[in-house]
Parts: sequence; structure tokens; C-alpha cells
Amino acid sequence: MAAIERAVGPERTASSIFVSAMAWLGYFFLIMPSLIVLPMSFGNKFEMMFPPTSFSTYLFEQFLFEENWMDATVLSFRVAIGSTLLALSLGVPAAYGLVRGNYWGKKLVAMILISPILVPVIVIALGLYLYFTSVGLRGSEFALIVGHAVYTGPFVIVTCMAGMRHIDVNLEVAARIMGAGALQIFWKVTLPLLRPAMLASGLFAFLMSFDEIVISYFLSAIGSMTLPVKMFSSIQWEISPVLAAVSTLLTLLSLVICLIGASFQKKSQDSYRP
Amino acid sequence: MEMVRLEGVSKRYDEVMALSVVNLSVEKGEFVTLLGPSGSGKTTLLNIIAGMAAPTAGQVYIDGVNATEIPPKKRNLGMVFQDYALMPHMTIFENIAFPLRVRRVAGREIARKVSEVLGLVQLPDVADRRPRELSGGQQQRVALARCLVYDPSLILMDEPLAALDKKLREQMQLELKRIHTELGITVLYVTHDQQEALTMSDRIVLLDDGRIEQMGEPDHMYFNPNSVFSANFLGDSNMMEAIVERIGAETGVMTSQGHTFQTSRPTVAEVGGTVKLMIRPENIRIVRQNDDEEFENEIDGKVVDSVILGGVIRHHIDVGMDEMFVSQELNRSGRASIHPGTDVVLGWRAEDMYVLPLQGTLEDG
Repeated sequence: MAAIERAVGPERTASSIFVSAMAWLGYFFLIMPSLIVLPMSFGNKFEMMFPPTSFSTYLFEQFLFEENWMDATVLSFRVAIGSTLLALSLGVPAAYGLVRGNYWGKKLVAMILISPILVPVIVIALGLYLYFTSVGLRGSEFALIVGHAVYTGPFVIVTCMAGMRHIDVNLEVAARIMGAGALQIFWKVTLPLLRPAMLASGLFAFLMSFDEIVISYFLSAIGSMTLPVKMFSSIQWEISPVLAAVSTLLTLLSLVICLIGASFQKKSQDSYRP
Repeated sequence: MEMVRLEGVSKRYDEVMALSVVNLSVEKGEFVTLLGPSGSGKTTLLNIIAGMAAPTAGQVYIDGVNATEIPPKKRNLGMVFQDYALMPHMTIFENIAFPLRVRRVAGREIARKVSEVLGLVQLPDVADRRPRELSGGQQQRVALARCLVYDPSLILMDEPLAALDKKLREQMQLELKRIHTELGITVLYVTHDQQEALTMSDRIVLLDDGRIEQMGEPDHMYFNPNSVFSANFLGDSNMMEAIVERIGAETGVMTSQGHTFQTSRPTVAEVGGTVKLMIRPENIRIVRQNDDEEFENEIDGKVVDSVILGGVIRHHIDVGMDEMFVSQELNRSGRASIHPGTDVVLGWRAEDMYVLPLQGTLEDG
């Protein structure tokens, strides 16, 4: 009965242990910068030292109350929310049209909509800079929101297209035969079923926009800097330890958003099966 | 009273002719089955009637109105799908209420109609559950209820029972028939399963390769196939090629590989021409010593195999023709079984032998 007693599962062979160890090493290598920054954010007030020689929350207080860090953070939030909403409201219908539609030139439209993924972000940034300068909007929050939406839009479209393909087309056919109009079908049948994809792509777009530096740097003005842009100029002009605190908070934000995303995934798996 | 009429409807997809010149009329309250193998055009035909596909040529009339240009949502039809197509994110109640909400029916009326129709399909207690919590058979009944709740003039069914297991399928066939008879609603049913067609239909429309091969009542189709295809698809058949020797007023005589056979069925063929002779397995008997039945037609053969299919036995017998003959008889305990290799004589009556054209239908020739 030895065969029954042994637990069912992957064997712990030498090679599998080696692979695990390599994976953990790689993972450690990737998060090492965050691991260094985290203790530094509770450390020395006036110079960056690792390992830190003192402990205080001064740097976080500095972030919250001094030098317009909070202004930059608030702007980043506004731009992230705005560009996410814009990317979703344009990207979701686009995904619907690309998956369900059947018209001449559909492949061309798809390519154009997804093309920002193929282009280096600095080229996009330069293009946006030239365009918004020509209409006099460089430095405005509007330009930032639109610029970020261009950047995150393709990811929203691709994710939602994948979500659309999981939706049984017969559901829409049945709804049509039962008398529902196209808008009714989109609202009552398609969107509720697309919610997991919309949520995932929305959270991802938010995070992408919040962390985005290149486009923001090109489009920002002195008075309106997003958080990453302020961090970058701050480190060019001075080596300020407050950056450690900002980095820790940014890492925390990413973590929270990923946890939200993961919890919705679990929830949606309970209530919907493709 | 005519519910559906198709005049000269055809459908072409680039190079392929999915449907060629279909003329069909369905009466109110009829249960008509579109039967055929995959690719025969039956689903295309259903989609054209539903409005999901437009015909390349021809007109579609629904309930007296020319519906060819009318979009699906305005045709007031119901449709039941093979994969049920129930909205997974809604409760059963909301699923059935959907078409009523689209028609802006009042809340209280919706509750009444939903409960009424759930009673009709014998699922009174599932209103608050989700589709994934129900079995396949239950989901299909909910899908049917969703169709019935808004009183459509016509219900289309696209192989609705194909995803269910055999016993459940047979149960559901009788259920559907009961509901059809009770409500008197017109049904157009697509299937490739001949047994289903024979069980449920008032009339069968047999399709092959985009054409209507034959149509008629199940009895008529079974006992009067008009072509080799019809004989093979609806029921089983033993076939052999033969040359026509003589056609008299009452009998026809054919020869096949040295054997002479008689038929007493009306024959449409030319003397000297080649035809296909068809006998159903249940009409071929293994001649036994104590049989006092006389058969006009007999042939010698050797038993290859005997297969017990529950209530019937099928004997596969080599008679020296291209295909083996199958003789089918009722299974009875105590009946002496026949060993493979035994020499037997097969017999059948003249009235059970059909004469069919080599190609095409009897109407063509």
C-alpha cells in the first residue's frame, strides 16, 4: 500500500530544487532595489545611506508636508484616473467592434489602434510633445491625460479583446432574436460579462499611467509635474533622501492595486464561468 | 394557415452554394424538422428564417408578412440553441424575464408570466438559481421557457438536444412534443438525428448538399424514400445494384449478379436500365425450418456476425454482393443464436423491395 501512502504531487528531485532556487534568486534580484529603498525610507534625514544608521519617520513627514510632493501626487492620481477612464471608454467599444465586427479594413483599423505598443515610448512622447505644443496645450493636465490614454489604450484594447472572445456569441444572437437592440445588448449582456477584463485592464492602465515617466516628462511644465517627473528632477538637482520615502509609497500603491486586482479575479471566478 | 413560406431562397458564400433554390411552406402549429447531415444547409436555412443571415436570392414570409428585409429583433421569433445561450450573470428569473423587459412589460406581469412558464417546463423552484447550477436538461428547459414567455409566433430550434446524453435526450424529445401539442405553437427543428426527427415531427424536410431531397410525414418518408440518400439517411437499408428485366402491371423483375428478384411496388424505371434495390433490415428474415412464411425473394449467404442491440438482434451476412446484408429481428430469450460461419438463406417479400434510381431522386427521373 506504499503507493497510496505517498502524497500525490510534483516530486522533489534535485533538478526541481535547482529550478526553484534559480527562480527565487531571480525574484530576489528583481526586487532588490525595493528592498534597499525600504529601510532607507525610515533612515537618515539628510543623506542617503545604506544601511541606514538612524530610524525616523521624518522622510515621510517631509513627503506629506513639504515641497509640493503632495501636489505632484494628487496630479498623478488625477491624470491616472482620467486617462484610465478615457482609455476604457474608448478601448472597450473598440475591442467590441474589432471582435464582433465584420467590415472591410478591419485589420487595418486594428493595427492602427494597437500601433502605440509597437512604437518606442520616447517616439510617442516626442510626437505628443510636438502636437500639444502646436496647439498650445503642452503642460496642461488635459495633454497628460490624453497622452497617457494613448499609451495605455492599446493594452486596454488587447485585454478586452481577449475578454470578448470568451463571451459566447450566441448570447448576443439570442438577445437579438428576443428583440433587444444593439445598445441594450451591449449594456445588459456584453458589458457585465466583460467586467473582469475591464477591471483588469483598468487597474493595469491606472498603474501604467501613475508610474509613467517618459511621456510625462515631455508634457509636464514647471507648475504641473506628475510624481515620477518630480522624483526625476529632484534627483537631478539634489540627492534627496525623501525619494526613498516616495519610492516606498509608490511600491505600496502598486502592491495595493495588484491585491485589489487579484481579489476581484477570485470573486469573478466564483460568479462567472466562461 | 401558413406561418412560414420560403420562395426560391438560395444562399451563396463566395464559391460555395450553401442553399440552392429552396421552396418551403410551414403551416401554423406544425412541427417541422429540417433533417440532414453536416453541411446540408439546414442551419443556414434556419438562420435565414431567423434573420441572422440574408438570402442571396428569394423571399421569406413569416405570418403572412414579407420578412426578408426585417431585422431579427422585429420578427418576434424564439430560438433555442445547442449550448442553451443562457446569460451566466443573471438568475433564471432574470434570464426568462429578459425578453419581457425588452418589451417593457410591467414588473408584476413579468413575475406572473415567468412563474407560469416555469411551471409549464416543470421547473417551478429554480427561479433564484444561476444557469451554471442547473443540469444540461434543466438549462435547456429554461431556454425553452425563455422562448415561450413572450408568445412568439414561431420557435426555431438548432439541435437543442445534441449536448445531452441519450436517455435525457429521449425524455426531452417527449417533453418538447408535449409542450408543442399543448401550446399549438409552430416549431422549426434542426437535427442530424433521424430518430429524433421520426419521434417528434409532423413533417420532415430532408436536406442534402443545400437542396431539399424529400419532404413529408415521417411515416411516408420512411416507407416511401425517393432516393438512395433518403433511404440511407432515414432508417437503415440494404442496397444492391440490379438491371431491370421486365416491368409489368403488378410486378417488376430485376437481376443482380445472377439472382432474380421481384418487387410488387410501383416502379419507375426503364427496362435494361440500372437501378438500386433497397430492402430494410427488419424486412429481411433468416429462413428457418419451422417458418411457414413464403418469400418471393431469397438469397444464400454466410453469417459473419450477430450483434445484440438490446431489444433487437442484427445479423451481418455475406451474400456475395459489394456490401454485407443486415437482417434485423426482435430479440427473444430462448431463440437459438446463429454462429458466425453458418450458411443461411435470407428471404424478403416482393412488397418490401424498393426500386430506387442510381443517382438523384425518383422525381428527377
